[in-house]
Amino acid sequence: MTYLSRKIVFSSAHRYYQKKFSEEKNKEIFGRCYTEFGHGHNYVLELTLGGKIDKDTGMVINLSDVDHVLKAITDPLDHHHLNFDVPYFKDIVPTTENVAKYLFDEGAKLLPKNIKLVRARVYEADSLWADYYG
Amino acid sequence: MAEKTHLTKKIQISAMHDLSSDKFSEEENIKVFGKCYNTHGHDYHIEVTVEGTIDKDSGLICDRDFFEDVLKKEIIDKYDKTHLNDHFKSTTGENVVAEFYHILKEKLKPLHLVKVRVQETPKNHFTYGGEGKLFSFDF
Repeated sequence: MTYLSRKIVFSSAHRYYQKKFSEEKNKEIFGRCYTEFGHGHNYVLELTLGGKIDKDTGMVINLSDVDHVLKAITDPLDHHHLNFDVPYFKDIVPTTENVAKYLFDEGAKLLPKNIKLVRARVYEADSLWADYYG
Repeated sequence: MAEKTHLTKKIQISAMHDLSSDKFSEEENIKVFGKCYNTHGHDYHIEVTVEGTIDKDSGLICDRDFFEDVLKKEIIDKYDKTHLNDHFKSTTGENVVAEFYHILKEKLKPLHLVKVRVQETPKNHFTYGGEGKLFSFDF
């Protein structure tokens, strides 16, 4: 198995807020991540894929096909407020962890059967990122 | 099996160190450690990775403030702008990453520490995850 990784950048707003919780509990659980209206990031998504090198093309998968998948799954998030504009996050808090999980699951749906999606890494900042392995 | 999720926080400290062994003469130390025998400094980039499962209500795998506060209190506040040789017997990258790992393994409890990665310079980094073998993507 050979692994390759490809990145894309998308910019979104999110708010750490669980509707089920009281205001006090939200502040307690989310701490410094809790804000009244949310805030934004230049997120970076990196997908790591595993597969066999095709003997004719020398590639595991054409990177332009990977770019197509990356764009398709991040377009609905790019320049949107995740809590309000993305149905998946209506009741699920768009934490970095959940954004990674969402993008992993969406990416897995679009990738060819012979490609294994190994990891979705989402950078919220250069100094903080989540890895979801399925 | 629970779905595996990691969260990594990167912090930075600027510290000085020098490499030598009290088993060697000065001449031998210079021969073994070369320019690293001289006291010098680095901006250490330290990546700390914890593992957990995503809580279905909060969407978090851990208490983010607790995670960040421990890193500040136990690493930044104690080692930033210091001479690492005042703290550790050996300050090779291999030993520094293991020292930080052991400190954090204890202080981050109940979080599950997976690994610590220390970048000493842009040209080298060291990763330690305890005695077990690391998952292959963790280097």
